[in-house]
Amino acid sequence: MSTAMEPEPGAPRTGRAVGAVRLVLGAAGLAGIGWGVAGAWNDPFLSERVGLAEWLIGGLLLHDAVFAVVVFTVGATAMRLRRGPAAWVRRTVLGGLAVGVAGTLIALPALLRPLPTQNPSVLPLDYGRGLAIVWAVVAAGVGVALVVRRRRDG
Amino acid sequence: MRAGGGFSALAGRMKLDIRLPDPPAALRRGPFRAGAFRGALHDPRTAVSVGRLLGPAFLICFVTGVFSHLLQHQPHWLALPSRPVWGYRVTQGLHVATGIAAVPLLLVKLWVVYPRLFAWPPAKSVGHALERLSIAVLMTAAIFELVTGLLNVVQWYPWPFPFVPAHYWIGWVAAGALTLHVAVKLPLIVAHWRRPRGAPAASEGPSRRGLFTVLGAGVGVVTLATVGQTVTPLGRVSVLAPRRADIGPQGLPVNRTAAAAGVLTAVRDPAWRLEVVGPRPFALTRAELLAMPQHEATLPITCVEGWSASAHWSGVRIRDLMARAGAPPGARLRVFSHERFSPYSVMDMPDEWSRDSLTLLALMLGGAPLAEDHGYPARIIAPNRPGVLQTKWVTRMEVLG
Repeated sequence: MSTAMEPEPGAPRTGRAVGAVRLVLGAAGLAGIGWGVAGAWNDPFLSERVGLAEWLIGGLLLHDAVFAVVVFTVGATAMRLRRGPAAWVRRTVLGGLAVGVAGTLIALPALLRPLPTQNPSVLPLDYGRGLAIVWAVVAAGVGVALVVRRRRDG
Repeated sequence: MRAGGGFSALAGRMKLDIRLPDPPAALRRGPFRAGAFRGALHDPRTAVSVGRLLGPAFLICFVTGVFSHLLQHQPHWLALPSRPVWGYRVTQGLHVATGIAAVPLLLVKLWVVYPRLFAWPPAKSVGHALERLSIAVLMTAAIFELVTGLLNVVQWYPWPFPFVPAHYWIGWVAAGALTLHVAVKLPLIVAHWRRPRGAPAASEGPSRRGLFTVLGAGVGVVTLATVGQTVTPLGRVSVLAPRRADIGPQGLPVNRTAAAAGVLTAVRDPAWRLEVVGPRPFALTRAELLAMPQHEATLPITCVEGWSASAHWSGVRIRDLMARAGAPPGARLRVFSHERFSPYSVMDMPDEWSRDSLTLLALMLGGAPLAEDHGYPARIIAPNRPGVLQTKWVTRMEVLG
């Protein structure tokens, strides 16, 4: 299978209707972007434009240059190691890892937030314990998935 | 038009299909090499399949977000209903829950298309360069919305700009960029909407079904871990929820405490009076308010941060107080809090709410006097309104013409 996003040969040709829808959606999309950018630019409360730009671009860089690099390196390394369990086992474990990472990302704000809040009803739980429970559930799910497939394949 | 011609085909009519010179082949190293990414799931069909879930998620976030914004900054020409009482609870709960579910959805979508970041040549034509720029705008706005939203939910603001206008305006950029992205990719989306006929499911190697199992598990885990902050029966399951509906003074969470609002001296003053300004102005002590006909209402407090909890309130109907002040029919109400230096210390209430029989100046919560953190001596509670407009520590109300 090609990794390119180009269509495979023989993909259906698109007609006039699709072309018209594209023009309408394209115009609406450009209008939405323009409205948002102009709104942010003219908003008197958003005068700290450099800080806003840093946070905007920072998120993109954090994903493309850090997060994705780690994810692809871990995935490629795990799948290319010569010794170790079968590929389907590795894939199942990597899938579990991905689910656990999703849970961890959701927990990070609660775990990293500095200065305990003055309001005892904000973040009232033990989030380290919560994250441990999430990982335990994920590990159990991976275990069940491995056992089920091993039994099925006999 | 060639299916999947992308932006180039769309832009061709605008003379944007001008070819750009290829960069020297010697620069094609590392991830830019052909075949640098081997996985089978970085294909258009998978991208379309994940996009079919991510697109609606962003649409839900955008629509509920704009609705919340309109409720909080209601233009005079727009009448919004005060019913159903749970309306805002559902829309804002959905806004935050969908945003959280969009985190694994977006990460998987980006994982699928990440190899495209290293396409060679980086820009074939002016149209191709613009297409890639539009995707950068979409990613930038999407990641920004999810990150700022997640941090706002825990009331953490480590950035040098106010959250509300930034999240609002960049939300428009995200929605616009997503719409543009759909327009650019529409032929590809149409071509890959259905699985090709007769295509056998892979028996070995990574499968799309496996990817969707992981995606479903990720969405399920992050949702179950947090949604109990608004779907209260799941409270104990949601071990990562920033709030729990039964934790707080009088078993109800609080967004801003009386101490944080700096109102403790004012609300403990025995000389406290509610002042009502209108054609027949008057002032009442808390005891005099309690001597008026009392009404009960079970209404949720719904915070913009996505938590909500239902509670049993009692107090004086706002419309009774307005009638006593001689308010004409259809009058609006302006409510002042003891809290200063907050954008919500003054609240305007359109007549859809002020004439609603469930809108109270609440004095009691769950049969006991309001806790200071819940707005003692008196607070507003109205159906289907954001928590920031349920003004606490009320000192004065003005009938507007």
